[in-house]
Amino acid sequence: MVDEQERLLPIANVGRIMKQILPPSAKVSKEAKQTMQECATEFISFVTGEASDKCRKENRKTVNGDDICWALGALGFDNYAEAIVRFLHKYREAERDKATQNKASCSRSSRDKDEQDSSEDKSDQQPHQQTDAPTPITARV
Amino acid sequence: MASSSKKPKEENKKKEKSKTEKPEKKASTPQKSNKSKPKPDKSKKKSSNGTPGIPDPSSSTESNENKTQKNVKPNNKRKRKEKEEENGGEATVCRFPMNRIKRIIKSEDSSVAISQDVVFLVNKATEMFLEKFSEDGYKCSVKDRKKSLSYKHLATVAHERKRYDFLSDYVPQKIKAEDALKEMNSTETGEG
Repeated sequence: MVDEQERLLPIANVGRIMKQILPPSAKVSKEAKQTMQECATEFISFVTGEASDKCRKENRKTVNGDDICWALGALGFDNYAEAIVRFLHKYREAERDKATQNKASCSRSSRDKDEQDSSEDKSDQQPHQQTDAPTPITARV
Repeated sequence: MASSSKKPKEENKKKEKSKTEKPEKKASTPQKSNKSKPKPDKSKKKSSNGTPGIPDPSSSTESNENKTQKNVKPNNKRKRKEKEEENGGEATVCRFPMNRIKRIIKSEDSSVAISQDVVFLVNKATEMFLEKFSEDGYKCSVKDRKKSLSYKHLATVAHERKRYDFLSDYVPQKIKAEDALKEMNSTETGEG
């Protein structure tokens, strides 16, 4: 059994988007938020259904970004398609940056470990480590 | 061999020197520093490794170092967020959870394979749709001279604009029960 709320987008997120786009003095009824929640979910199903139908007709198994953009245009949301393509490029750049930063941080942490191990004598460290505050190495152990 | 035996003596000498250097600073520091006399060696050693060597009492140095080490990670996260904001602003920030969107897509058609780009695109498109629908609904509420956006306004918008035809079943306009019964009766008599 799938909960009704799990089938829909989170109402808190929906409410936040509505508050941000509307003037500060505007109010939104709870019923309106719930309605928006269902409409947004239906929108997702509508667009991805159109895109997956296109893929099926072309004997393709995977839906890609171009199919989504085509579906938006076919369903009358042309202006969305142009905007989200730009968002997609920025998203891919951000993902690449994250990947490079993760690699750099991992390499730095491994270098620091190697330097600590090589410079410190373990025989001298052990008594100190017992009394001292936990260092990263001992904390992990 | 001999060199290895000499090293601890040298380190002990260093400890003694560090102890002599400390009392001037210890006067200003709390009592806890007395317990951690051997610590400064680590600070010096750590300074050699590349971390900024600060000649402070041992406990404060280690606590500061631990704090700096701990603070490094959240600072990195903040810097990443700032960079993301600088790079794309709201473009890369997704308003809805990706997992929930995947689940909704799968419920529509479980046989479809989707890439991560698709989930992101659907996320942004849904956000844009919500914003547009809210704006249109608010305009309708202003025309109605109401301060609050209600279901009625959304139903009116969905009924009037072709773009929102797909929502006609989800946002039907409310009518009185009497009117609904009359329509039902008229359709039945018409068919019959």
